[in-house]
Amino acid sequence: MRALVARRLLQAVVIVAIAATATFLLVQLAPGDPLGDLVTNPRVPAEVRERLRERWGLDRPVHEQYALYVRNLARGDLGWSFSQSRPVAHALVDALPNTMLLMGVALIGAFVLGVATGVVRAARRGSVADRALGAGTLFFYSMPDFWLAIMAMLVFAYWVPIFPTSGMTTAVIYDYLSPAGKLLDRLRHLVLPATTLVLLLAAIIARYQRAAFLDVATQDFVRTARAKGLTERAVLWRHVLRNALLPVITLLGLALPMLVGGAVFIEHVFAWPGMGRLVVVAIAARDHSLVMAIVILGSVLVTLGSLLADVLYAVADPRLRLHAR
Amino acid sequence: MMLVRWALAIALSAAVAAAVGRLWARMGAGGGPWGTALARLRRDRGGMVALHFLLFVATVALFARWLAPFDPNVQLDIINLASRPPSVAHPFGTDIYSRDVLSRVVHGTRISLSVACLAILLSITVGTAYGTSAGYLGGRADAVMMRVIDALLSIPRILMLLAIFALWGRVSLGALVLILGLTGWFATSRLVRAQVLSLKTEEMVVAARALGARHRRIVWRHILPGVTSTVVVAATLGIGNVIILEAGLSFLGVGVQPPTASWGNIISDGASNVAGLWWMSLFPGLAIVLTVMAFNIIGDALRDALDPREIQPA
Repeated sequence: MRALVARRLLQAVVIVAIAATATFLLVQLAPGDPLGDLVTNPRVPAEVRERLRERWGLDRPVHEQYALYVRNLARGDLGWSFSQSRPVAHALVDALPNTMLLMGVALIGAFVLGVATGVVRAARRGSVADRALGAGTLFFYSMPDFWLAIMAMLVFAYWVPIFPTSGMTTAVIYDYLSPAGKLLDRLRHLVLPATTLVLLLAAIIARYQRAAFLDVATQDFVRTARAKGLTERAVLWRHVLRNALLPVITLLGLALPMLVGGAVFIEHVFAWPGMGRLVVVAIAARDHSLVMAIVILGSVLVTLGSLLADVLYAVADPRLRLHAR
Repeated sequence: MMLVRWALAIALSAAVAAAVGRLWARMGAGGGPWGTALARLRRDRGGMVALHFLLFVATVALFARWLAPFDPNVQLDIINLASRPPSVAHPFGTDIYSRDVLSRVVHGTRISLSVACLAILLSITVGTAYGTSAGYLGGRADAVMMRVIDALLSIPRILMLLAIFALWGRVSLGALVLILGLTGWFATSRLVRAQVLSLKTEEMVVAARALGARHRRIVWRHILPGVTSTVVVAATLGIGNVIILEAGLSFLGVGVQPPTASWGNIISDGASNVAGLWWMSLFPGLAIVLTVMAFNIIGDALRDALDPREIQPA
């Protein structure tokens, strides 16, 4: 078990290192000068430009720049964000908890809803319920994240104004609310973005879950269980579902990149002050170091997610532990 | 007059759909994995409805100029016709510049569909080439090539795209296709490689090698035909994904650039005032959802039809 974790961890480090290198190459390949319009601005004297180049190591050969980049990354120094006028790390630290809150709620909600939908569909295969839920799943599966967010906002914030349109808290009055009122205010702001993410992710999970359930349901040990005279309920709950939940763990690794992608659009539409919104703002401001840091962080997050999924899978399925050795 | 043109478009797409159905039936009579799959697909009612719809969308894209009631980029009457809700003359309403939204959606269909189709073509080609090379070469080359894919897959695609656009800024349509295509082949290459690994051990390949066939011949005659079904399913399911991505990028303002209309940037035009211009997000959004749904239905049906495990005694 420990060997498995160690090996996966090593693999994760290699993956992130390659991803970081790819990001570095991307910046090198990009047109334009890293100093931006300081180069074209005639009012910036040449020696200031030179000093800036020296200061950021831009005058050195590519391999030295790469070494510097790796050293800084390893120390956790992500550079300076020009658009925010503060270190990139500070901007990330401010935004990360908000994204984590949104993604955490969405992840739990989506797994519960997705697994339930998938199981109901598989257990009642071919029924009206299966087909109706199938159509619903496909509908949300085929939907752009930002569009569902806009439609949810239109219906539940403008036409039937039960929820606020954007942000995490109500501006101005939030500071004067009681602690309970503050919590309620935050919850009300969370409902629409979280529900949007849940619906989108649950549709993906439900598709996998139904297939996984049917895969298990056609295996021999299930037939044996039926032959022993067990009730249908016991067969489904104890024999099929327990085994069909295993692939769901893998989905955890798969769900994270989708969640990150969804969060970008949903945070943008609902003005949720998280990483997704930060990256959109950073792009508009052409703040390269901030964008790159978010890309690397996203890759770390996804790699950790799939690492966690692998380890959990090994914990849940003893067969894998034997193979991994 | 406009109604007649639309009726003609619907009739044309229905005729093509019927012809395709007949062709599939004839191929189905021939047997083989593809024949059986197509015959099964033809009996799948959902799949046929989706096919009809897609052919209709393709017709709209092809004949956009004849089907759009107005020029998509012309400001009709900025004083009296700006930001009007749907009416008989403008079924999808008008935008803040008094342009006809239906005409923009019709022309956007053309852009969004062609960008997605070209990008997926590129992805599939690169992914198949890479996956086949890795799987066929095997050994250390395979291990290195797959580790690179793992790393590239670990970056969420939307973040990768946003990073590219952050560095390159706004790009032309051709560059957009290139960028979408070149960021979409990682998962395909993995699928293809897995398929190639299993095909490599099949008797026909071993026999071909024993007979002294060259690598090129083995790959073209024995390996690639075996991965076609995987690739076709991946392409059909992937195309919806690309449509959604392009819409998302255009929504954020880095994809298709105005005044050229795409489904995504029409929604973006209306996003500054969601409540006041709801028709600008509703209709293009429905176009995206229905089209992507149709591609996914056909992709699912193809996968079920081509997957031998799915064939069960009824």
